[in-house]
Amino acid sequence: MIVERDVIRVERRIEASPRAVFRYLTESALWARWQGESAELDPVPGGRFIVRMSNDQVVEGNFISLEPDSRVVVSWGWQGHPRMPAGTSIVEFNLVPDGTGTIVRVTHRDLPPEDVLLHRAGWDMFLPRLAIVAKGGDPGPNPG
Amino acid sequence: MDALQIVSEPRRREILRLVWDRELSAGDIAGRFDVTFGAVSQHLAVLREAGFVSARRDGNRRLYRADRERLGPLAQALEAMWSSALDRLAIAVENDPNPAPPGAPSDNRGSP
Repeated sequence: MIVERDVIRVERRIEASPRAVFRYLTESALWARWQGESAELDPVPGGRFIVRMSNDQVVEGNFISLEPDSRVVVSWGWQGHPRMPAGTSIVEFNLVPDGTGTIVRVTHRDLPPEDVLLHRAGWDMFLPRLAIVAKGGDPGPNPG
Repeated sequence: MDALQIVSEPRRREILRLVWDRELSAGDIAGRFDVTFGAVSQHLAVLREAGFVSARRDGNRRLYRADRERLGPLAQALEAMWSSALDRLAIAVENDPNPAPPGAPSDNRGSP
């Protein structure tokens, strides 16, 4: 039986081609436009995947597989995290053409179930800023 | 404060990690931080009020531990987190001043 609690699935339509979205998942400077303060991506299988969040938190993993313009899979964890260290969960992005846009599906699996809250906490630094950006404002420097 | 605000404070997250699967006193916890005992006490009070940690008396000490049953339902919130991340991705891609030219092959190497 699949324990749904250990898997997170989210999807969203983006009004841009899969090719345009794919670049944002594989180019360091572009990734940092939507998550973290900076990113170091080496988008080849086995290549490293690092996203520096604020508060000195660093997400680290490796690219596992890439299919141009359609799929990116990375391993995911936090440097120094006692329960979810670097590379211990899996994040998969699927890009599905939808008319003039793209459906982006994110599946985050292999989360330790009891650690979901702390994992979630890793996302919180950029979210308040996201809300500001989404309203057209300037989020200013990252906190902390 | 809502749950997100509570766990968005890095020291409170660190406290949660410390007491995730063991009991510690406020003094034990404070000893691992470079902030005052009073500051740690305040964080513990916030976590207790939210039900994220429970406390029990042991002699003249109070021992704290994460209340995982209370934390569990928050799992769904991670979904909201990814959802927000995708919103931000959408904003970035849709407002890209230099979109990928149609028909050009994807360069799946990182940009400089």
